[in-house]
Amino acid sequence: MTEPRELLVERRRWRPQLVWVIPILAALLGASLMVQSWRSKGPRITISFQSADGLQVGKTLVKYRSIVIGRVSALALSSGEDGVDVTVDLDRSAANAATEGSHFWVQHPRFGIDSEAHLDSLLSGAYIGVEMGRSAKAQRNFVGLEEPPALAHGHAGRLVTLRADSLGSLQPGAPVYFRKIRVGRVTETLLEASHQGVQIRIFVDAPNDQLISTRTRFWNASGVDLSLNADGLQLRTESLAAVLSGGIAFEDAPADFRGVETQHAEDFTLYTNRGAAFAPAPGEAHLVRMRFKHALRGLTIGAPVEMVGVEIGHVSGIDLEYSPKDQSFAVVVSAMLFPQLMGHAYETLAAEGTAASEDRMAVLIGRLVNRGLRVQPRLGSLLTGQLYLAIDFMPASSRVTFDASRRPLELPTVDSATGELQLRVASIAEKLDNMPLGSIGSHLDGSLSSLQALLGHVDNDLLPPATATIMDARAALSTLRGTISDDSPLHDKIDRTLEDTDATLLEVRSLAGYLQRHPDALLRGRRPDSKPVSAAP
Amino acid sequence: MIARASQLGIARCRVCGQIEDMAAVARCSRCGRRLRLPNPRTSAERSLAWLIAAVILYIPANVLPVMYVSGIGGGAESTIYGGILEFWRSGSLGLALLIFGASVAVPITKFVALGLLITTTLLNSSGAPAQRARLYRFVEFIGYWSMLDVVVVALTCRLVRFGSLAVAEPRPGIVFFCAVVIVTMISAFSFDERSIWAARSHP
Repeated sequence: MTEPRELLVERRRWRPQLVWVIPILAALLGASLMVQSWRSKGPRITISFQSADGLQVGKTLVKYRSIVIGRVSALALSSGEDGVDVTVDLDRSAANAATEGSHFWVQHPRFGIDSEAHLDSLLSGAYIGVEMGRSAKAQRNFVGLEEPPALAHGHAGRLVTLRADSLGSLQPGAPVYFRKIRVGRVTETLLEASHQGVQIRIFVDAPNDQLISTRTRFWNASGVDLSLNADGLQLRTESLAAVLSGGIAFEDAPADFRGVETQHAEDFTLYTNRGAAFAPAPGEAHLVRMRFKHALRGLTIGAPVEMVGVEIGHVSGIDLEYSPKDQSFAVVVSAMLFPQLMGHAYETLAAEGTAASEDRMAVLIGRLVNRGLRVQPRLGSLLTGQLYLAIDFMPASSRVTFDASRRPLELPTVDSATGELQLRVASIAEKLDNMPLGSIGSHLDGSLSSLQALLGHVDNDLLPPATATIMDARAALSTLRGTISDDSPLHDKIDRTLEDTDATLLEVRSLAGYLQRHPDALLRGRRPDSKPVSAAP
Repeated sequence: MIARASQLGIARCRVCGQIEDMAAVARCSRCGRRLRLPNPRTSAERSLAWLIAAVILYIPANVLPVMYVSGIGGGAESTIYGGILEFWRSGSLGLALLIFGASVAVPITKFVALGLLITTTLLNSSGAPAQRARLYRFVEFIGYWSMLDVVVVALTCRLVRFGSLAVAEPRPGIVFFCAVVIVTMISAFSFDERSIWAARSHP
């Protein structure tokens, strides 16, 4: 037992044990993970921005249609120009984003009333938005957009450019309405190259972009349009959002519309309000002058000029003129007239050929002046004292000579209607003066004394019989009360009648019950052995 | 020369400690367990295999994220190393050191210690057996603390569930880390402590 046995002989030849499968498996697992992670790694791109405001390394995401497709992996200052270089690791699935034509922008949280407020970024922080390029050519360095594009992700629809004098409260993202339904938004606002106005680009989503034609009129729907007219107070707004953040509305012009026709279906005018959008086209303007001898307080530039109640122009200038001959001052008012605003009358004139030239117009006006055509300042509003100019026929006015060759045409005038009003008021005051107020007073006095006598007569002769009548009525009422009181014979009789009726009804009920069980009793009569009232146990 | 039990064909039952003569019986006469003479090479080799597996698994455990924490302002996945750095930078030195100790220092110490023990055994080294034995006991001791990370992640993911406010979710890295700990334990367990002393007989 003390000698070592052959058991102790060590095996020199090494045979791998089964346990070596474990490290091999681990190595395979690790290798497969490495391959997988290498395969899922997408391209690394660099985007340059003006500033890295809100961007964080490792935190800021790159999103395409709200899906995370990458992450900011490094931020660095640009080497050459001012700005920052943002390095982004894209997922492999988003390799399309690293192609030519892709756009990147930083989406900051934005407060707005419209639906695209991006409130999600308020909590999650800014993210980088992507618009994928369509090209197949790969690109690694991009210049980021400073403003998020209004149109991302290939919406179907139509871009329309509007021109306006001023932007108002419109901003990119402001809604565009058609019959108060939101159909698009403002995408861009920019100054025209000539600095004479602004261009507003709007995008109308498909299929509503079909609504836009050359007949379409756009107007600024921002704010509240409050008007007071013969129908009462009218309030027009598009929506609360439009009131607060600005908006644009459009509609087709009606079929009989005689406004300015839009030439191109891409370029439109943005009118300041709905009224302006559908106002008839003013047509050619004619300058006329009028000379007034008296003061025209209340007439302002822009005041309307009306032809038989229809507005056909406006006052464009008010000036004073001194004539040394008779050392007098005159008010010279110039006005722009738009004959086309006369509507059908203008069409008739145009058909005659009168509207063709200013000379033939002047001849016509000369004939009209001979028939009594005059310009008269009239009071537009008693409250404000605003004047307007009325062109009207006043055959009673004195004859004047009309110079048809003079340019600009000078229309004859008559005195202000305000003066007439004053005259009338004066005549009324005079008539009031002439009224015999003294005799009216004495007559009234006599009438009052006779009224007093009449009242005394009523007091003495009429009142005593009336009192007796009332006493009689009271006695009659007390008799009636005795008749219908609780212990009266009438009451007793009614009581008894009611009891009888009760008993009768009971009988009728039992009969009805019997008939229900034995309907044949109606024909055969009551069976002798059955009882009318059910005595079932 | 002192004879060893193995040289005499005497083996100790690994289960109940009964001493048996291998020439007489193949199984423990008390508990029925199959008897085996200690084989330093085999045990060291098995231990080495497990150790290599553990080292390989340790790579994805550190590279892959172990936990995903999302809160207000987005979420982020963090690896063990990233987590340590984050705690260190935010001033929680104690936490950073604790996690560093549990997930970096302890496993690597175990790798080095086990590697040393296995190598010396395979090389039939007879140097400093007492120290090596102490080293082995030390490896066994620190093994208790290796699962700290796994427990932290498990607890956090279970406790932090506040909907959109804050959510913590485990990520594959922690599975690898858990595997590293288990495989290292198996490696240490496979190593036969007696083989440290076996080389004495072959001077």
